[in-house]
Amino acid sequence: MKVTSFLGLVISGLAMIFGCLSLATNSLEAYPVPILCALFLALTALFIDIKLSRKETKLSIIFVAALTLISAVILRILPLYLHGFNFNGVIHRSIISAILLIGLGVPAMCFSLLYLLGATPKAYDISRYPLLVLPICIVLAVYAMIIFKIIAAGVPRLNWALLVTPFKYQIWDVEVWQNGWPNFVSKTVQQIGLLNSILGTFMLMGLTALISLPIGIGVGIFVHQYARPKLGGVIRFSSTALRAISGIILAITALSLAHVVNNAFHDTFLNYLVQGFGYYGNGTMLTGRSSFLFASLFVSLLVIPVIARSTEEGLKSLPKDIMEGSLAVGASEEHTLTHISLPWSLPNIVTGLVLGCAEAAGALSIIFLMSGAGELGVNPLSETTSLAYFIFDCRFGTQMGDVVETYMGSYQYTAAFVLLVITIGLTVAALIMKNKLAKRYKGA
Amino acid sequence: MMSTEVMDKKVPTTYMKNIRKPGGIEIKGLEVFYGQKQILKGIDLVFPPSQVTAIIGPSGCGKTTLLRCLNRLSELAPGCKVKGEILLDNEDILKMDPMLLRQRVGMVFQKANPFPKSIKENVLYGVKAIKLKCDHDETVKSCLEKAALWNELKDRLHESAFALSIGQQQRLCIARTLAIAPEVILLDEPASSLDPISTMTLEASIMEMKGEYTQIIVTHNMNEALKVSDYVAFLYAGKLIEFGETKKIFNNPGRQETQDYITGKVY
Repeated sequence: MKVTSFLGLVISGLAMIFGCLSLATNSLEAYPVPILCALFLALTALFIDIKLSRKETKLSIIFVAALTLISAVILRILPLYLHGFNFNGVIHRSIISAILLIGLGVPAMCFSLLYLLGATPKAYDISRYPLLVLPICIVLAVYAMIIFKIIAAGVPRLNWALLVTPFKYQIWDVEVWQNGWPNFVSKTVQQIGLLNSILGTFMLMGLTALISLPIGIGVGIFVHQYARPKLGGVIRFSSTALRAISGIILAITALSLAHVVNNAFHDTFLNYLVQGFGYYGNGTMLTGRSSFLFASLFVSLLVIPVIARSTEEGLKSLPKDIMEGSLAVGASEEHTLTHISLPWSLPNIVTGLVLGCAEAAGALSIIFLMSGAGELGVNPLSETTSLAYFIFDCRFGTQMGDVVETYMGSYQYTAAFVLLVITIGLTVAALIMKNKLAKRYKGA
Repeated sequence: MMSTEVMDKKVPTTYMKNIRKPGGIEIKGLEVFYGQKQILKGIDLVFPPSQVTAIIGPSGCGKTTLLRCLNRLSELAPGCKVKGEILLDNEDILKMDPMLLRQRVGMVFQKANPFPKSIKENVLYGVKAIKLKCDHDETVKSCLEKAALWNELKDRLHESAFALSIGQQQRLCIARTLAIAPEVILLDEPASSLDPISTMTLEASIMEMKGEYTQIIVTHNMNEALKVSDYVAFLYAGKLIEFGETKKIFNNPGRQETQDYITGKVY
């Protein structure tokens, strides 16, 4: 029985590997049918072996074997390209073969593992691993492909100068005297770099955290501690609903608000506050699409519910008797809140903040619609810019009317790599901080 | 919050000076409702000062509810209504500020509930919370000594309280309660989750505190009640059946129900 089940294991492993490869490429058309036939033979051999040595009739094995044979026949008959059902799309046969190979390879591998390990209860548990491991492997493979692409295309172009130079492309006229007459010559300042986008990412995250942390924690405390059940339910529902509003709706709202402000308060401080402003190389003041402050206000709308919810969960997880113990020594509710409940829920709040900031740093339609290249500086009242937008701009800048694509189009993967490093770094830092806080305030 | 009472005392500097005179509690016609359900049905009871009074009775008879009324923790439960009068040194506690009341009436819970802080911070938590003026190190030492913990823990004061054993945690909770120098200490089945040795140590602490504080202990354990208490109150179905000196109740109970409960015949 060892020999047949080992054979089954090898062939089903082969089937799964070829199945995964067929998902990515369609040049493996020669292999699925022979592999399925081999799998059929191996399963039949395993069935006969069990029948002879253990005197058991395993109908499930012969059923899978039959399915294998049928799918081999189907694959042989199928044309190379499938289309029908009035769809315009065309499906290559390799997709079908991938599905069949993976779908039949997994149960075959389970059977083989079970009998290779002697069909004990322990072996029964282990033989279920392929079912659990396969989806994980597929997900990890997808992640690996994405990260590999970013690293392979981005890292070779990464250099220190790129990280410490802000992107600039500015043209203005300079008055030059020639032969006693004034003449206007256009002067161009042009430099490529990522510094303003990197700083902009941090500025956006920082401002968002600054706005949303106090409000989010306040809402969480209010809902948990002071609100009556009905009011708490209403607040909880509306914050969840706010979370569910897609970013593009908020972005459109923000843009129209900015437009209204621009029309009504043109050239006033309020206008600059909303639109963001900066100075050109020759000293001219320019306004942008929206300022960091204005954009982070709208990003905060998405982050506040997350922080409020995690604060509330943290407060809820405090055992009731610890809170009562605090009240029982004469401490006021406010003292209990600041000295027991809030420290206890700090790890939760950090988690919420990280989730929120990852959102602020990453793909958000708010950022996409409200950002610019950020040539005019990075301070709360400058035009919003962030790496996420910059990557987008490197790819589609021309269509957006930006010059970034022309000058930095080849750096898109480098920018993506920098964003990846920043977000992963922040997440890891927050995780470490969370563990330290949990140890410090929960006594772990 | 500043305790007005302590402020009046011309700022005592040490823990010992903060200790108040043990107070007596008098309950008149106490009725407690949770929503529509009546838990306590008219209780009249006097807890004598400086003595240990045990409250015994079957589960669900309202012992814990009665105890939690005495420091008004019962108010935290939604839908709880308290009627009647509870007098602490002839002052109606239902009209007092609950925070000020709880500074005078400390409580030790059924389950050890130390704060997620260091041992020292645990003891000093109440002191800092009510801004009691005293020497911190001295307070920690004397409170841990009274709770029979000082010798075990004097070198570990900055470790987390969660690292202690359950018995030590429970005694730490007693030390924490002592630190705010209460007049009355309520103990809600303090030994229910402890092993016999921890229970003995705890009982020894209770015996030692006798005289300095008025103690009220809820217990299921007849031996414990017999050992530590001076007076016993027997509650059944929300009513006070009998109250008297421990020796009298255990040797010569006045009511048949008490006799049956103590000897374990019914319930």
